[in-house]
Amino acid sequence: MPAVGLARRNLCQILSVTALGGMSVLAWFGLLHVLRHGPIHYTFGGWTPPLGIEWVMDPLSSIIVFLIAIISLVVSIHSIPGIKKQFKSSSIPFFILTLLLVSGLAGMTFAGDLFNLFVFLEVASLSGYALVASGEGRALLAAFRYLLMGTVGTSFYLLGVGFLYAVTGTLNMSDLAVRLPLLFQSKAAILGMVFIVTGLAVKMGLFPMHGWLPDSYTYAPDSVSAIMAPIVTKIPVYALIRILFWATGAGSGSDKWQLVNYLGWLGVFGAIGGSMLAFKQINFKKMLAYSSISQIGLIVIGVSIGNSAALCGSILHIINHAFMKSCLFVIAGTVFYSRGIKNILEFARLRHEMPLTLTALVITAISMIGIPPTCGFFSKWYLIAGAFEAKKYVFGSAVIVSSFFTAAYFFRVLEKTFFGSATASANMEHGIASKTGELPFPMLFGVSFFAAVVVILGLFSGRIVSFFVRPALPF
Amino acid sequence: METIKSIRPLLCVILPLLTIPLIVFSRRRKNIREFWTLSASVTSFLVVSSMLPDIFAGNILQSSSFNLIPGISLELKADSLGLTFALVASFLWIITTIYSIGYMRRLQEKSQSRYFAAFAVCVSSTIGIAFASNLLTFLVFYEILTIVTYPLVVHKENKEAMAAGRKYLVFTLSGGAFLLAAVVLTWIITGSLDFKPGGFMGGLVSEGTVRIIFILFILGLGVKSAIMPLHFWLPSAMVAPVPVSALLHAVAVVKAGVFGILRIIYYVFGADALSNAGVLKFLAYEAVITILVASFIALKQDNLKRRLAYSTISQLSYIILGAAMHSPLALTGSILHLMNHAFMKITLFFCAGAVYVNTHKEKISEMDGIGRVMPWTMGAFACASLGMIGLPLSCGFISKFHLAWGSIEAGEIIYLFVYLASGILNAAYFLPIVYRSFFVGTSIHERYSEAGLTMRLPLLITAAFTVLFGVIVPAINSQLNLVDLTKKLLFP
Repeated sequence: MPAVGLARRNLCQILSVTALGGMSVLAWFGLLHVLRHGPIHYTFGGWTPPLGIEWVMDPLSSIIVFLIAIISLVVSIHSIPGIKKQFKSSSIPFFILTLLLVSGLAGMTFAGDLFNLFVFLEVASLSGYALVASGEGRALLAAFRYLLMGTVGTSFYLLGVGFLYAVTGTLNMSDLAVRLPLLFQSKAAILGMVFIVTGLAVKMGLFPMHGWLPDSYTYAPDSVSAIMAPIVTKIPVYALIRILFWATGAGSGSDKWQLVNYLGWLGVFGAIGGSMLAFKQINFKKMLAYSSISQIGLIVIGVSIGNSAALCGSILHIINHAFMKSCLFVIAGTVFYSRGIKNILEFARLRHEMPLTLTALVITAISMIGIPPTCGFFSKWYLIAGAFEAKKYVFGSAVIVSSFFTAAYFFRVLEKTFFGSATASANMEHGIASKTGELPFPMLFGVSFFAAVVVILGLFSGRIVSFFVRPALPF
Repeated sequence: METIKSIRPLLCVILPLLTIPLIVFSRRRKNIREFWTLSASVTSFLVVSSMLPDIFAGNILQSSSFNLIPGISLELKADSLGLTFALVASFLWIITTIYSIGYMRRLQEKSQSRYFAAFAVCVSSTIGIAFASNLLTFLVFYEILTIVTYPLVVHKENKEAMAAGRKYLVFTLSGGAFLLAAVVLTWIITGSLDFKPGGFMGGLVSEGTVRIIFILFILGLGVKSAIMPLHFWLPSAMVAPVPVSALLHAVAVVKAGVFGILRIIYYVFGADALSNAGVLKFLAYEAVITILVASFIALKQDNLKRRLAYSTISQLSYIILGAAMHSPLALTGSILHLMNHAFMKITLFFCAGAVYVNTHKEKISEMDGIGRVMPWTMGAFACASLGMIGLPLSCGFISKFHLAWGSIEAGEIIYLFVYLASGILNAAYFLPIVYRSFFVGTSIHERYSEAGLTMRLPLLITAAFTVLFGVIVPAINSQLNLVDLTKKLLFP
């Protein structure tokens, strides 16, 4: 890539989009293959699992990888017009780092052993820090904060892996699944799990370890935050699901750990606290960042409940929320690119100028609130159903209450946009020299693609659940 | 009884939605835009009424589509109760469209395309609610209705409207949250969500659970049906343009709540299970309180639309009380009142709107002598008022008669007195308006004139219907026959 970049700067973009496109196609066929013929195990260099490194492609990991691929593909298509404006001369590192990030995340997803997961976690994290730092102004500070907390998180994770290795003598997940249940009383195993979960919780921005998240998403360049926000926090959640339900079996059944129940409470505080904080923000991207914290809380609630409905809700919400958040961040990017607006209060100006973008905004907002028939409703439905089934009424009500708060902050935006006072917007008009006219095609494509997906995922939710999500459940 | 596969119920929901792109595309040409709305409303009414013969033959029309969640699909089913509601909603949509055209153009309101588009979605989801064959489908349309009403409530875009819009959202979305919780609980406990005459919950669930789930349902549906103290959003929502208040806040939205309560009582729990658990009585008392308190508050309102709003709150509880009495006659009265009240209240709102458009007066105290310049409008108003009071020879009498008779049948004389007392209160807050407008004041209003034809015609039609359903025997009978189908189904 750097070589190509030196020769022709524009080629980089094409190369990166082609790579992601190819990845999406492969991931899609991989997913279909896995659903039809069962999981694929790949061992590096022919070394068999206990010694060698194993990659596993089962229904869950292939769904997640497809998710990563398609979202990063569409986001990078969307950011084609904006790249030059955001990065000026340094666009080549952006492409390299993005691809590195994507492959790191995909590696985390496929990893069949805990240490390999750590390696890819570091790959993804390091490229994430660098990407955030490529922004202007306070981005550097935000990136440094992200770096500090992220490193603490990964260290915790590594420490935990060390403990588990010391106790069980293996790192491979399927081996752990056999050996660990015998050692559940061992203090070292418990401590190891606590460390692993804490480390992942930092990486996913779970309350109260979310401190790094809002600033990094807000000050990162728009194309960066649009790629990072939907997937970077989801993959640690995926890793958590993988470890709790596959590698250790600590997530459900008779072996369910108390630790997992506590995790749910963090989810509750995150879900409600995050949306309350989101309500106070006037920067659109910052609001979305807090909203991410709240949604991660919801997913963790589902993981903590751990029955089939709730876990189905969590996985569905990982998918749905990834698309919703990318749509929202893509909208934020579009609005900033074409009108220079970051502030919610100025959105009123867009009313007559960008009808398509605003339609997408309305659809996604409705979906975030969880109004049927958009996709957000259905993941919440499963989460609530799972909670009630497990008789965890507090968790179920927390999901409902948090969607109520979500409604509060999204309607605040919609109200400002559609019914905001015309005088306020007239004043703004003089401040920024705005470009008028149609959006460039790639941006239009990105926005409408995600908005359409949000609706389609909702309408066909029944099929998606029975065809993709159900086979991915561990039960 | 037979279930026939048919696309017609689905068609009724989709038709109004199809107009939206047309409305958006032809937003620059007013007449074409209004033509789309009008033709969609006429077609969907025709489709709805084309199902009548099948329903009278004792069949049920059903159109299913894809699964929403595994095991539960988005399914629409036209049964007698649903068809009753859909008929009223789709017929009044035609009338309201004509009225809206007159109203919106005369006042030169902005964003008319948004208005007509949102209106179409509202009607579509109302029909969806009427035809929903399971709780999930019901919930889907119920929530859509909540959301699309919002732009209509805040249509004026001033401070007052925004405040009312927020209040509306807070109330209805929290109602939606309770409803969601109730539906999920029902699903977890019974594993089924399909409406079934006589209920599907009886015997499966302990009384305590029935109580909890029912109260959750009432908290959810009670917001839209404006049971006190969940009614606060309704009077504030009167800042919306008059046609919105007329069709949505007197017919579609609020009746969707009441209709939901009917469905819950008779098609989810079964009235027997509810009265065994003692919650039906609780609902009835709640309704009694609402009827009386809302009527007293209505007496004190000077703003005509607010007075009508409180009257709506009280009349909605008529229907709920009738449903909660657990007697066949009261149920008949309750469904009849669902229809009749729609015609009467929409007439009253149309009149209030006509007066507002022509004179810019909203307060009752300023309306002295207005009947002499607008005899048609105020004549219709008087006609509908008499119906609200429940005088014989008006449609209000027929439904109230059944309700009163039902309370005797149920052995609850208190309810009979509540209905009678409320009739007197109705007289006390409606007759002064009629009296003032015709007999008080001098010719100070000479600079005003009668409303334009597009506004006068709709209100005369609906007023004519209030008389028709009270006087003409075949009309009364056809209405009764439709209701009887439901009654026979629920009280075999």
